Amino acid sequence: MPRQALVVLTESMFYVLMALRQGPMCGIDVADFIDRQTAGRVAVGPATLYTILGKFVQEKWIREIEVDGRKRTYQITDKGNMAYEQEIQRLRHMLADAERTRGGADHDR
Amino acid sequence: MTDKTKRTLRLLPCPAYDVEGLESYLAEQAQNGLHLCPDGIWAGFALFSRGCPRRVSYRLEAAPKSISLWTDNDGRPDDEAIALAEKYGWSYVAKRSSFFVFRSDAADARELNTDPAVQAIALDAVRRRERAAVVSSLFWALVYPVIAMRGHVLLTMIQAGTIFILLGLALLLWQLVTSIARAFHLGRLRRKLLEQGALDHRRDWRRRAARYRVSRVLRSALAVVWAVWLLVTLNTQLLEANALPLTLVSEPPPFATLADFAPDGVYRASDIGRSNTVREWHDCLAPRSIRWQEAASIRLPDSSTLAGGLYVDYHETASPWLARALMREYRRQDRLWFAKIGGEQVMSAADEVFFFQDELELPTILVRYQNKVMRVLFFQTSDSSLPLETWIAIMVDSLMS
Repeated sequence: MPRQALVVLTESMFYVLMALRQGPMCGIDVADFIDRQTAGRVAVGPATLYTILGKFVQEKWIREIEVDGRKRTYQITDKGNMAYEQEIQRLRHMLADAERTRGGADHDR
Repeated sequence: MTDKTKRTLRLLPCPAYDVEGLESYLAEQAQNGLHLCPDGIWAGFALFSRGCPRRVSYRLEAAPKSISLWTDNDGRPDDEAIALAEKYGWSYVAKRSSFFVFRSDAADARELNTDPAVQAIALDAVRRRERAAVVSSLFWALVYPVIAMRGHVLLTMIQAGTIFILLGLALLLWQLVTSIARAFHLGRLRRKLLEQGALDHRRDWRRRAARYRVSRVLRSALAVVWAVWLLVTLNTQLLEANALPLTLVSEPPPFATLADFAPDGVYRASDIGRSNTVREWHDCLAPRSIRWQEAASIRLPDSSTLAGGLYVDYHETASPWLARALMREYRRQDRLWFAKIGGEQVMSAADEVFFFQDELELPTILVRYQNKVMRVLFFQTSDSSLPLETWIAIMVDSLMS
């Protein structure tokens, strides 16, 4: 995996972090969580999921805590929590900006 | 139909990094009733089983790390990744280079890659691995041999065979160009993913298929030829496979031998290990080369004995310029490899004569005359020793005659 810093999280990356915030999970549990949480709106393919997990391990946002047969369990780290919080902040700012702009547009109308 | 007739082997029409081309080709084969067998890709060939024509989707997944039989899980994807893919209707079929091949019969199966930005990251990882492999192979295949040869390129070419070295170099350059093309192509795919959001799984794979197949077959054939040649060369060089005993030599060599040092004496060859052999070979840079190894004792008319060993490397190069270059390499080699001291030029009628001596005081001379170069090591084990100037003069004269 390249050492290329993640600047902005994609939707799938964000939901993978969200899943692991709930507690340690294996890849299949993460996929199930995202399906449930988004009611199928966000579909994360298996290749996408395992690329994200690999990238997050490399970035030290998550760590592998257990390998049980074919199941690998991952846990979010402090660095991962921080990245998740920063992304929420970024999304909040975006939403606030959008809300403000919409208010102005309504007022002009 | 027997099992054998149910299977067919095909040369793949595109390289491993052509993700879209390979996905499209495999899907089209399935529509024609040819289904890729499990672990059915090897060395650019794919093994298909004949069955009913079906609409099947194939996808290539960039491996997260370098894959081979010696890596985790025999180079297959993680078991959990395979299980998750199966949950969404995809089954793992084979691997090719840095990619895993998955297949799905379900038209509505969730895509393996649902996030183009993440897929771009995966492709970028492959691209970086390829780049690292290029740098590493460049070092081991080009830089390291030059360091190991310590700059004696011409001498190595004459000894190993110029065509052999050039063919090896051409294969390496070909490999290098292919690797660079691979890195560029992966970079293009990555950009396409980021700009257009998806790859074209139905791209026309025929466009460059013929060119790819011809170059693949040609490169493989050349690689096999080179590998066989390498084995033969190693056998010849290390085991002296085509060295002849001096007793079988009918024509005298184009330089003086021990018998010429004492023409009136009684000659008796000594048999010490690999002594008393000659090997002659031809090369386009040096049409005639001889390695002469002789050990003998000669009873002189005054009942004393002249005994010792004579080792000669003789080359007739294609031009005097090459002889000069070869002479420079020999001088460097004698100074560096054998830690010989001296190296001063000896006055002589030949174009160049240099004299060296190592810690054991084994004298060596390098002689060049026109397009002929000769390195001579002569050591004496007898009390009656031939003066240095005498045998140097005999050797130099023999080269000039």
